[in-house]
Amino acid sequence: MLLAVSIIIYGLLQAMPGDPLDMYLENPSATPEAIAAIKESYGLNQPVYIQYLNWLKGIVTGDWGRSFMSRRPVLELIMEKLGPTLQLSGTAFLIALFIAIPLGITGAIKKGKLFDNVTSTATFLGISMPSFWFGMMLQLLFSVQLKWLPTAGRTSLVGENAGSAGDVALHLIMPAIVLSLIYIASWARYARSNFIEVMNQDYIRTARAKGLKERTIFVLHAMRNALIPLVTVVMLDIPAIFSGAVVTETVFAWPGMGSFFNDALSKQDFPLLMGILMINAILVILSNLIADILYAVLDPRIKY
Amino acid sequence: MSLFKSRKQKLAELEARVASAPVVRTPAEQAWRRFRKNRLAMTGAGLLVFLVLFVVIGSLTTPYNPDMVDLMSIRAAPSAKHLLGCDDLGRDLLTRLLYGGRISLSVGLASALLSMTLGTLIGTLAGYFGGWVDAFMMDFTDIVLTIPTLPLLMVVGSVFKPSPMFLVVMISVLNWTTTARLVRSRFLTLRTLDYARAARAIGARNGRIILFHLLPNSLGAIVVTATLSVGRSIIMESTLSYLGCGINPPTASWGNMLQSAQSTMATAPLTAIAPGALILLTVLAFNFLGDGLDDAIDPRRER
Repeated sequence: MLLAVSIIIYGLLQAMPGDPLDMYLENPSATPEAIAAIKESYGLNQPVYIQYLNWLKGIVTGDWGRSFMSRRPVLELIMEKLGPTLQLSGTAFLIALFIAIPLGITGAIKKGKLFDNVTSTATFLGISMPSFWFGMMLQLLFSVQLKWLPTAGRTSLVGENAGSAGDVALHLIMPAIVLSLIYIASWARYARSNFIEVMNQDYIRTARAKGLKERTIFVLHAMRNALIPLVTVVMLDIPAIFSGAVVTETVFAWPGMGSFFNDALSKQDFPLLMGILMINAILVILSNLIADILYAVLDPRIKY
Repeated sequence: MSLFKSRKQKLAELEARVASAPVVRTPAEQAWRRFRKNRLAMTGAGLLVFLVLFVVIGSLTTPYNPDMVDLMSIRAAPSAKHLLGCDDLGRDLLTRLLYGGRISLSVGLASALLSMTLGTLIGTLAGYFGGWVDAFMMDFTDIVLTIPTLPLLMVVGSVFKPSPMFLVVMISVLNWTTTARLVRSRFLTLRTLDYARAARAIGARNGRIILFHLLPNSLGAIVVTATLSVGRSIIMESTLSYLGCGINPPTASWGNMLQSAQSTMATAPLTAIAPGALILLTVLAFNFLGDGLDDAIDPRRER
């Protein structure tokens, strides 16, 4: 699976016109021999499939190649940028989880009432929102007009508490909200419709007929059955949050993998791009696997 | 009284029979009635008609050229001359919005259409023939699903400087999976139903069974998915254009207008607000429409 994806991605990147060594062509001191030597040292003069096999061997053994830009190992560079991205996407993930589920459940309980109508409309807005524009609007309102929050970056450049935890947290607020918005909306919608479906089941009617309190029914009977499918959806969205960070990081100049990816893109840094894409693909497969396992653990009816 | 009824009498009788007959509605008519009663769907449809008319009529009647640079009116505030003001190159904002809308709307619609076609084709093959065809097709779908869509589109987009047509193909090639899975699971159920088996029993060929029996019965679900995917495609296009990997300037699209607005929004906020608001409205309209269609087509669903 991962193999197939890696072949497709590798092939596509290879098909890119332009050569990372083009930048040397404008350098008068770079003789054709020198360029050939550089190609040799990166293995660029070999046929594509040999390059691919070499690269694959490297991936497995932990040597992900060296960046064309900085000549440092790709894996090391990615690990450096992983921290801020995890910080951002982790915060967004938690925000989404803690807002979406209560929102969805309450919407299901108060189905058809004012609260439900308002949240339904709001979640519709949420799933239709282009996230980068939402970010720009927040910047316009809270940074430009009200001057409450910093526009971009992860830390202040000057000031006495530049770089402190509080400073970072202040910078984190807007990007995290932007990144979590679509998941708040879609998970809340999913939770709501799941709960409504479960509440129509026969065993809920039985519980009601027994005279159980509505609250007891909800917590003991409905909750588990409604939340299990949600776990799958949430797990499957994790890689999307990660790649969604590309956009959010660009809007807010957050120094993580996303802006790094953009940078590598403009410089056609092939090993680096490949590395980041592979991390993404691995994440997709991992979260698929975890979703399957969790589903089986949580729902005894599922057997493999 | 003559033995034969006059023409007039016959007609009157016929009319009486029609009037007293129980109202029979085809499923399509029923769906249409439910659709009209669905406020959400009607809002979406109305909004969409309005937006399309606005963009088409507006772009045909505007006095300005969307790409004309006017140094005298850089970042001009809204006035009678420039209704929404101008951008950082002095181009009329409203005109660019209208032309950008043509691009964004057509890219969204075209990619939804293309990915629907691709998905239906693959889903049909997998669901109808089953066996190794199914296994192969679904493995292929899983692989495409694993490709990180946005980053890969960024790579392709930034390298090939795509034309709108190319962008449509790019987006569709990665977005057909939902439709394929849906069509496949529909077909797996439908092909075991009596009417499909009856058709096979009287010797209908595969193509006929697929085209006349199974596909029409899956059409509702396909249309719903396609409608919802228009919204997704528009967001995808605008995100790519915003990141500089989609529609390339000077051709206006709502996405790349926002890219240049990033630097002007502090001084000319409308350049940032307007394109995004239009994206939001359009996507919202398609999502309303898709959700409403879903309810209208599937009568079992209750809200």
